[in-house]
Amino acid sequence: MKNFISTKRITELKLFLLPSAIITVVLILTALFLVPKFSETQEILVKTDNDKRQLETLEKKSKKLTELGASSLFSDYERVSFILPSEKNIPAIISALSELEATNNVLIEGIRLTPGFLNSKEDQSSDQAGGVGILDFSISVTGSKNSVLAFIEQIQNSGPFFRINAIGIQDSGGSFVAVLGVSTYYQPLPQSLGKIDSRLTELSASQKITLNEISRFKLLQGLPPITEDISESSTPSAQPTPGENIFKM
Amino acid sequence: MAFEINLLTKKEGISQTARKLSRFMQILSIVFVIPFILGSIVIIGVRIFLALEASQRASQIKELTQKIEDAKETESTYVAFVQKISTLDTLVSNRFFPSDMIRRIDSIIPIEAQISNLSLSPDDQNFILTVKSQDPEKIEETVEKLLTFNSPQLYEIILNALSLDQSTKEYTGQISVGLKINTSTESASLE
Repeated sequence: MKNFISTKRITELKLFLLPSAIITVVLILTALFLVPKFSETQEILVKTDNDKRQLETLEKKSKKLTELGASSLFSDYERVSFILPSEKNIPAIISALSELEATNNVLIEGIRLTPGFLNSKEDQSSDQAGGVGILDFSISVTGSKNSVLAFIEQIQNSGPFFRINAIGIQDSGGSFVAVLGVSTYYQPLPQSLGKIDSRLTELSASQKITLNEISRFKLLQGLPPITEDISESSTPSAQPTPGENIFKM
Repeated sequence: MAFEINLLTKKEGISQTARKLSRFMQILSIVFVIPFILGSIVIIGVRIFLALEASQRASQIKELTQKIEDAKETESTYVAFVQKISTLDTLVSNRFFPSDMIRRIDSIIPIEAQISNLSLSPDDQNFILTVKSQDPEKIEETVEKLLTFNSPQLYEIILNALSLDQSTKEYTGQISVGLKINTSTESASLE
């Protein structure tokens, strides 16, 4: 009797054994395999979103660069960098003032530079604000009233860019003298372009207006060298070409 | 016999309960197994799809990155260009046009008088104007003319001094003008 009962019990237990084992294995596999894989899949989905955004940014940037390459960017940049150079260019400043002097029939009698102006090509903190180098100087301009006033108007609509900070005029009847406090500027090139997927900044409406305005600036590249009469015996290549720009951009 | 019958009845009752429980356990195991299999299939399928997509996207990103690298000169030129335009935007919009103001003052003072001295800067709230004339009344007239300007901003015109140069018989009037010069436009506030 007892043997019969225990055999029966074992048989009954066997009926539960397989399902229990299956359930246990499923639970273990879920905990060890399914749940981690689900978490990883979520991370992959987040990464996929980021990659899609990066791809979109790169596509826009590549398209924009292709358009810029075909546009007048390089010639516009040449013009803008002449107006606001990347480094101090004192000969260009002197040359520009000379051209203004000749064009307006005035006489620049003195250029006074700020002390320490010529010390180094790379000026640091004292004359730089926000990455822009400032060169201050004063000039004394003599001529007729109209020609001096024309000079003053033209100097602020020319490249390199000059900004009048102060003016003192003296009209002694015979001559009209203006002493101008002037600043000119230079801006070094950016150190780096940033990440490959960094966006390209668009010009604002105000900046587009400025671009339009400076396109009308006269670029003062200096007066052409005075050419002598070319004799038949001289070598043509040794003679300067009339009107040749002395500044190579 | 009765005892055996009772015993037989009890044995059948236990077996039925066990069978019912066993069936329940079987159903329960199916309930666990099927979602597990389906979930595994879905997750593996999604991962395979994402991996394929990621591989395609990676090659696109690589291609675009190379294109952008090749256009580095254009990018650096453009970045420098925008930076310079941004700076010029600030500088150009804050220009001070003294010639315009000088012409305006010149146009309102009497012919017999002329500006002999003027010092001015954009930050000044006032400036000194020196006017010369053979006739002192013309200097007073200059002050009156300056007072007639319809400026919306407060200003004051004061004739500080009036002197006579005995050698040239010329009167010199030193006039101080208090005003705010608007440099954001091309004209001064004197109108």
